[in-house]
Amino acid sequence: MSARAQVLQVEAAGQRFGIEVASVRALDRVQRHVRLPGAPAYVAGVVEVQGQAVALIHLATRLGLTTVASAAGLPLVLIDSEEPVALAVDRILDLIEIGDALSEEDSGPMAKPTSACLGTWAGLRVLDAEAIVDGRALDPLPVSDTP
Amino acid sequence: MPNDPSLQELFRHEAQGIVDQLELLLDAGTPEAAAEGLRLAHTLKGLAAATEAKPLRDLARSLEAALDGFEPGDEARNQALLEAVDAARGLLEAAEGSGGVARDAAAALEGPAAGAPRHGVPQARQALWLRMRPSLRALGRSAQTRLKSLESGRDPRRRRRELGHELELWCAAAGLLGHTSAAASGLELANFLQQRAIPAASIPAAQALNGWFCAQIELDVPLDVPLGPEGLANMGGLRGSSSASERFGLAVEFPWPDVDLPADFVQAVDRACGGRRILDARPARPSSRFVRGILGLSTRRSRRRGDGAIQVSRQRLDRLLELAEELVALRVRTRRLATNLRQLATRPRDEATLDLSRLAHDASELDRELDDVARANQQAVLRARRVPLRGLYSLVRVTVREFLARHPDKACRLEVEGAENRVDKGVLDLMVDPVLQLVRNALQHGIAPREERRAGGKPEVARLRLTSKASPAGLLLEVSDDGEGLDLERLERAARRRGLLLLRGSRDALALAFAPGVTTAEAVTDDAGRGVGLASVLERVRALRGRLTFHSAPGEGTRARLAIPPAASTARVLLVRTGREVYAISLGAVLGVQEGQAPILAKRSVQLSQLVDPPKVPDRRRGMPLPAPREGERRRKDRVTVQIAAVGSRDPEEALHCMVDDVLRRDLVVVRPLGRRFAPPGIEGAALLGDGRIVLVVDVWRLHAGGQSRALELPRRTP
Repeated sequence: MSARAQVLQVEAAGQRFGIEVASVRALDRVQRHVRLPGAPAYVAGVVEVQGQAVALIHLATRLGLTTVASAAGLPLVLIDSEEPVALAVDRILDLIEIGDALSEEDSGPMAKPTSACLGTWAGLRVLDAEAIVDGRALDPLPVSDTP
Repeated sequence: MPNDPSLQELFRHEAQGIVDQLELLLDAGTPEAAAEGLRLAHTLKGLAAATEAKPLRDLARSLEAALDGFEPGDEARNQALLEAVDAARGLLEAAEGSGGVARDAAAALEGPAAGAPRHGVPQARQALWLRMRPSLRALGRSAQTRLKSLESGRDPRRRRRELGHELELWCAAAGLLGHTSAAASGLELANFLQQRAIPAASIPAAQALNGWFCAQIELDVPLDVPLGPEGLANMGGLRGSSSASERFGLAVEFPWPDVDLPADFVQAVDRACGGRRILDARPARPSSRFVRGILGLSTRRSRRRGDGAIQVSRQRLDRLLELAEELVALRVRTRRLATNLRQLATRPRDEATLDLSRLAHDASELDRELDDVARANQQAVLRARRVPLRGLYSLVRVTVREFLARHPDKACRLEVEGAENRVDKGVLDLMVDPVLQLVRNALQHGIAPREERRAGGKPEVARLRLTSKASPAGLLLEVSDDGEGLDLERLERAARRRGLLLLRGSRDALALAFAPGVTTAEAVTDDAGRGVGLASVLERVRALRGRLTFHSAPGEGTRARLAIPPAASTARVLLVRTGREVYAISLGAVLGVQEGQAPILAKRSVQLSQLVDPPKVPDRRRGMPLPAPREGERRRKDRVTVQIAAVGSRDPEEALHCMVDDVLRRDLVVVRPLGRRFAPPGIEGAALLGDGRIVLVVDVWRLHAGGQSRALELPRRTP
């Protein structure tokens, strides 16, 4: 990522993450969803968003921060990928603009890009939305070096 | 190419889809994508051969060969592949000519040393193979429309056509020159138009268009930059020249081989094109160091492939219109009902009770009528989407003819039946590849040369049959021959060569014929040898949610039967409950419902809850999952059994007996497919019910089969 980009700040399992706004198609709330038998544990089910049935991923579970948790009533972020997928998060915080290169202002283990994160900006881990929703195995997130 | 327009249309549509997919796969550049690309190139080759599109066939063959040896990171080869794909696209859309492009691209692919610079793939040319043509076409069409609207109408028709044509060319050229000369090309256009005696009124229009065009491609270029006398030149330090011709439109020449295109030029063009590549570039003359970009050819080329257009009879359209009018009438009644209810709400409760009862009755009536109209509307649309199989049958005829022309030692009589059967257009599009592949397979592997057949006591002329039967359960299509059958021993040897684990028995050996990379052909030819044909058939059948039944006996021939379920985004479903979950089963597949558990002697008896959510630990003693009641589940004897028909068959003997806790109701739902990433096999999609609930639509047969493996059904092993 270069130049300035808008990032949606969300919270999952008590931690803040950023999602590039360019990857976000819609924000909504999980109204009714149905379990998807046979899907990975982090797939909370299927939810209807904008008339589409999309897989619902529980972000904290996907990142390995919690075990399976209910997604009922949680805010969701519809990720604009080839096959839209919704991410259930604990809270949607705000939109911020981040600038220049990621990780430049940060150091420490968190700043390193992983398969789940593009990098950090001012302590905010910016997620690789495509990696989160495409079902591939993710590296464990580095332990936060700040309380 | 055959003269049958519907055949050409079918071919173009299919081939365009393949080319689009190939481009995406090559962009991915992974070995998996290359393997998929190889399959597609193989299909393209077959299609091109079937329609006598020889340049495309040759190009597809080169593509196939290049993809077969694909190695990630070989940029030069990848680029050459992309160029070949673009050339294929050009060939498809060109009304004539362009064979040189194909040969050029094919030569680049077949160059002696992969990775080494080779003639025909100069770096500058690579840069120009950018992503532009579709958006340029759209721009051209818009420009054409705009200027047409400015004309007085007194101009002869021919002149208006010329004008539109030239404007299209201008748009294409402006796109190509986007970096520095887009504005100047407006003036160029004005001059150009003047010379052609276009009404003066069109000049300001052209200038306006130029501004519009600049806005479209987000170029920050002043509008008053003059253009030199040599035409479209001085582009970012690059000198070129242009010329216009009636046939080719505007040709632009650049001294490619020694020049790197400036990066900002490349970016500007890239932006302008929205992710597509330039159509066509070829050496102007064999000895020339110039490569000519030719854009926006004849107006015939701007006719798109129709995006799968369907001819609908006036009678069907009238029916759709009638239904639309009925919907409007129902809407008026709904509004009246709402008004009455609002008025009722203002009246005293006692007084309102009687009226409320009447209104409730009205609402029920309205609901029923809406349901009827929605169902009729759905049926009418589905009927309108259905097209006859004639086009597919024609393709098969051409495939056979073309194959026999190349193999004079073989003789074959094609017998067909059921060409008048209709299927959904989307289904037909997906069926073309597998059917042609099965036919090619029969011709190549099944049917022996005349001499051999005579020696084996068979008639010299082989018999190839293509038949189809349509029923509410779907379409059953069969390709059979009286040839040699599959040589299982050779198949086993081939499988061992590929390192595939071989299970003993004819059933397993037959299955190997469908494994990617397994072939009994000794050499790679135009028709076979890479082991992708049958593998691709199986993949398409899976995509269609169908089943392929394959019988082959040595010396007796081969029969492949495709059972394709009806396709529809809306479906009538049976809602069933198992435990706490509600699922939808396509009503078309339901043969019947009976109280109680499945008959003890039923051949196939399953529990839906166990299918959708198999237990983690199977009961090894019994060799099957424990059917213990779960939370919310009824006892076995209280359950309900739904008989699910096998695809393509209404025979209760072949049905699956599926036990559920309750059958709730029938419903008309819109099925939304789930993404491939997370949807397990057998979960066809999700549907939103009227009460806002989401239910999963299940294909019980696929769940029962454990997913995709059951797309292929082989004869049971005989002792």
